[in-house]
Amino acid sequence: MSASVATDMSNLRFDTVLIANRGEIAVRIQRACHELGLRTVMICSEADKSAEYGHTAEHFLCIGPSPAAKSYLNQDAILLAAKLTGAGAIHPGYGFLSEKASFADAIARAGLVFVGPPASAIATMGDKIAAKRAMIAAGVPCVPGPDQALPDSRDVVEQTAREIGYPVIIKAAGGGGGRGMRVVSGPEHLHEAVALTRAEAHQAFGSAELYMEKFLQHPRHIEIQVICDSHGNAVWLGHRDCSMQRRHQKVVEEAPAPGIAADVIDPVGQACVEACRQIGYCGVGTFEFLYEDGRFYFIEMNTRLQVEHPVTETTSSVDIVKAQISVAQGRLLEFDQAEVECKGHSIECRINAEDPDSFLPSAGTIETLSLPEGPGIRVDTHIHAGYRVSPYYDSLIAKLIVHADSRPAAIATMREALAAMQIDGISTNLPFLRALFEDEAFGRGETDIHYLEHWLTQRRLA
Amino acid sequence: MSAFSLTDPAVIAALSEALTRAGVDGLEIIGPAGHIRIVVSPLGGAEVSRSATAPENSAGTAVVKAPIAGHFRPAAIDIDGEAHEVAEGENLGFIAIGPILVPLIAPQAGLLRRQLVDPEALVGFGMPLFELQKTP
Repeated sequence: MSASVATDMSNLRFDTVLIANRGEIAVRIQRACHELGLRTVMICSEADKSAEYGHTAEHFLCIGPSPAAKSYLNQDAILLAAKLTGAGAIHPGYGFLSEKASFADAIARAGLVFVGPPASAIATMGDKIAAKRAMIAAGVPCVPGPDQALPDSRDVVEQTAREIGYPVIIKAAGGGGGRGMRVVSGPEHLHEAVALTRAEAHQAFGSAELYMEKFLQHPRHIEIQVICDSHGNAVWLGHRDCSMQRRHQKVVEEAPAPGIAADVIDPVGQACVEACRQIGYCGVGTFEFLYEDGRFYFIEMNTRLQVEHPVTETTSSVDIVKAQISVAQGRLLEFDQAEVECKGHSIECRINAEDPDSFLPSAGTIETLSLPEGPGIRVDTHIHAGYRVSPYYDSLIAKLIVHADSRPAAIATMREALAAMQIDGISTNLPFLRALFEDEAFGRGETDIHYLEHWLTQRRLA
Repeated sequence: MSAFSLTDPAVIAALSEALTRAGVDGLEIIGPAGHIRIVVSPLGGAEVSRSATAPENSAGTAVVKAPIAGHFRPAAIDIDGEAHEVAEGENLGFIAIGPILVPLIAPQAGLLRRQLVDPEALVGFGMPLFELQKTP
């Protein structure tokens, strides 16, 4: 169904985009729409009714109460808002409904355009086993382990773990975001781990399907950004390192990933592009990999715009959001792979409204705000002095992005930008980020996905 | 029993569909969170009315808010110059969403003092539409 909608050119034209999101990404998408000459409709919950960014939209419509389940996650209310305002397309941003295949499907059935891939592609990539199977078929390197669900047979489970080699990780097929997974160091804990994870998976994701993979001990988190049009053209826009994570949430991202040679990563990027062609992908997407000892292992594909897309934008000089909307309109990609040239180094810090030590969310009113400016500095945000940070949503209030000729120069620029940034009235993670950018190992690029947790533990003990 | 929201379009759509399928003419639910009335039309489709139990201030003035996003269509009540007396349950107008009209029902008897939005304006969920002062 979705594929036929996606190839029907008459359905792909629109002049008004409803932005089904909030905060900095709503502002970012609105900017791209306006630069493309498109009108915008912003929606909001009651908590966001006074957001200034709504006033630059053609319509700013409150669709429900403050809890996200009754507003930003309410598919019916969003579709009604699109009908009421004459929007021809819906951009989901990231989070909320952005990777909900049923939402993409409902939008297509309503005769509107979902600014994202077909529902079928979202569904395939949302199922970890189906995704892994598709990646293996396209030649994308995957984590050792079978591309099928774990059976109930204890003997087969034991044999699978032996063949992969301990430690292994048991994962829910429908899981994500660090939930529904368990590491098993040896055979004595295997069956208990499988039983617990299966019960959790059933409860949290509605499916008890599990799979098993090799557990990598000190990997880095590397991403490859792709964009594809509906005419079979696909390119990759370079790579990112998002290893600096706390509780599976990214804190600092950079492009390119330091210390990975082109001849190592180029074949992986090309395989990602080939995978996109094979699954009929359209729109932007991110292939996420673990990287250890010079080898890449596919973990999942995010079928949406990423929070960290600006680091790729600044190195590749491609406006990813504008390109995403353009291909959703049915246009050809305006560049091919040979024209993609990544230059310099970019780093993004997520500025969160949270206590810098306990990381508990901090709601309240921003009393004074001073944003850094200068060459190579970009701030994506929706906040201003007097803005009230709501307790209802994610604590991300701004993204600070720098770009320079080299990684050391980018780190130096980020240090200056972090020092110049001032947000009073609420707590933010700025003090924590300032300290992190003084860390020597981070400066040398000697980190993995566990590094930040260890660094925080050491800091608490000191 | 789990609670459901009378302001949720999905709940309203599900209730309307269930009533139509069951051949039931209508349904009215009154609860602490609000009031919903669904009347199934013999021609197909349903007319839905809902009113939030608007909080009163110390002067006994309640604000009637939009229960859903849509176009505001006030009833032909002349409140220019002086307040107009309305009865509890009286229709104050509609929120129009395409062919669906969601009636706006007075949550209490009182004096309709002010209409706060222009006719045909696109209103969002929770937007104040009328000021209604309770009669002694």
